[in-house]
Amino acid sequence: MKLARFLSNISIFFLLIGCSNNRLIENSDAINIDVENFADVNEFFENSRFVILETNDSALIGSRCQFDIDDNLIVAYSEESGFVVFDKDGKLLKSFDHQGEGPEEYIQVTDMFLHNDLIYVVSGYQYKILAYSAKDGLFQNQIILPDSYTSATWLDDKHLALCAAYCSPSKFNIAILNAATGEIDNRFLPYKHYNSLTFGSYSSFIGRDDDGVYFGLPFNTDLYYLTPDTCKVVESYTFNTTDHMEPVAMADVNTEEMYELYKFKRCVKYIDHFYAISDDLHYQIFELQCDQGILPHICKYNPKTGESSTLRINAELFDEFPYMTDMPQTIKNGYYIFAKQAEDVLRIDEMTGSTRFADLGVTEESNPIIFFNHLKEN
Amino acid sequence: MRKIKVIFTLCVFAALIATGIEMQRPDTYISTAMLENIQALSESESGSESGGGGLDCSYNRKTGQCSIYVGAEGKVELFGFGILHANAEGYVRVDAEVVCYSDGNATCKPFECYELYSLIIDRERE
Repeated sequence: MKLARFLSNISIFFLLIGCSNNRLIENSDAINIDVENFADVNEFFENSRFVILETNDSALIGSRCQFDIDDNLIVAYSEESGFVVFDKDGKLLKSFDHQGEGPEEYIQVTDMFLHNDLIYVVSGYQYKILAYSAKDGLFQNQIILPDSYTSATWLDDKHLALCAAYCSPSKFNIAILNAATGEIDNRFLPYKHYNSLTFGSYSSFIGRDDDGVYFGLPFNTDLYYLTPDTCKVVESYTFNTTDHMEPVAMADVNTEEMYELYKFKRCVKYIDHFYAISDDLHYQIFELQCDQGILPHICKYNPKTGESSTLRINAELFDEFPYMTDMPQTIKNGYYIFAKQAEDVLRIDEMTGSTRFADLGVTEESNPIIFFNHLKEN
Repeated sequence: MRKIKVIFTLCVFAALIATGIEMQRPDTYISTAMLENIQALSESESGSESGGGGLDCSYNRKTGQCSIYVGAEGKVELFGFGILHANAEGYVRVDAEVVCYSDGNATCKPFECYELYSLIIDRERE
């Protein structure tokens, strides 16, 4: 009996320091990120290439577009255009849209991602994820969710990671769904205040490695790592910003109130993409409200020593990387991948006295250009 | 049923207070289109919880960023924030937009980017 009680206490202890982690910001082991002094762009990037997406009157991508990219395909989604699929060289393959209330349709896309030539569409408010063939746009299957979740990604062949971002009546930020059984195997990070508020510029799943995925949460600057069985904070960041968020336990976060409180504040409200080049070199992306509006930033740091440097993006055009002005759509294979509207690319050319993209046939009505900037590995 | 009525009354009360505070701010510009949106929200979606008609509390909100093109050397004054300079591309991006979708659990007042533009134009005219 005593042994059982002891084991029970130990279990509770590990649960408390592990996935029910409520700490925010305050952490002596945190990586301190400087947002007042900035490094040179050449310390972060070493080369750049781009793909011009084919323009076709029947497949014009809107300005508010979400992308996912793998080794072979580029998928774009916007409410105006639906899904548009290109090959890795930008050749248009297929466009489709299955908006509707039918069993193989979605009402609102809260997230989408590519996996094994399938496009997965998270329709959070309909409690389901639908899979369509990227090649022909045909419906393949659907996964019914026990609650509404705003985003999802595959953890392994069997498990889907679901993120609520405080936007699910389940009141757990993370759930691990066994796709074969339809059952939730694990739930992590509980909260009290369910608000149906989602953030257009926030991404839940911000990186991955062979064993799991990294994610961040709104009004939180911790980096979390998730496997089918575990969930833990792997990095905490602090920023020398003008404003700071008051520490709030995760369970008490009220996104409606905090959005109104911090909307125009000069503080980092959540972290964006993360990429580990090696055990000694990590990249962390975030946005920050500055005198020039919201600007992307990249921090490059050594997690062992805490040494870091920061690059502010879009405060000025970089001579070597003039188009490098945006947040990444994703980071894969060491490439910081972002999409730029054709009119913005042409405007930058005009500002820099170049005709590079006009010479390549790009017009203001063209589909976006995808840039692949390679992150330095040292 | 009584509980539903109490919740509904609280929601209406909170929405009226929020709207009232917003309209009393001397510097706040509320466009005709925005007022029409609020009115439309008040009149539509008269779900069973609201007892038929009136402001509904069942919305999802999605926030977004406004990208305002002001030119490379441009500056804007945004309500509640101050003066911002254009970024390298000539844009100013801020958190502001709010889009409302049905079937959630919140009241929702849409806030669109053109309202910021209107504010800027008004200030420039002064």
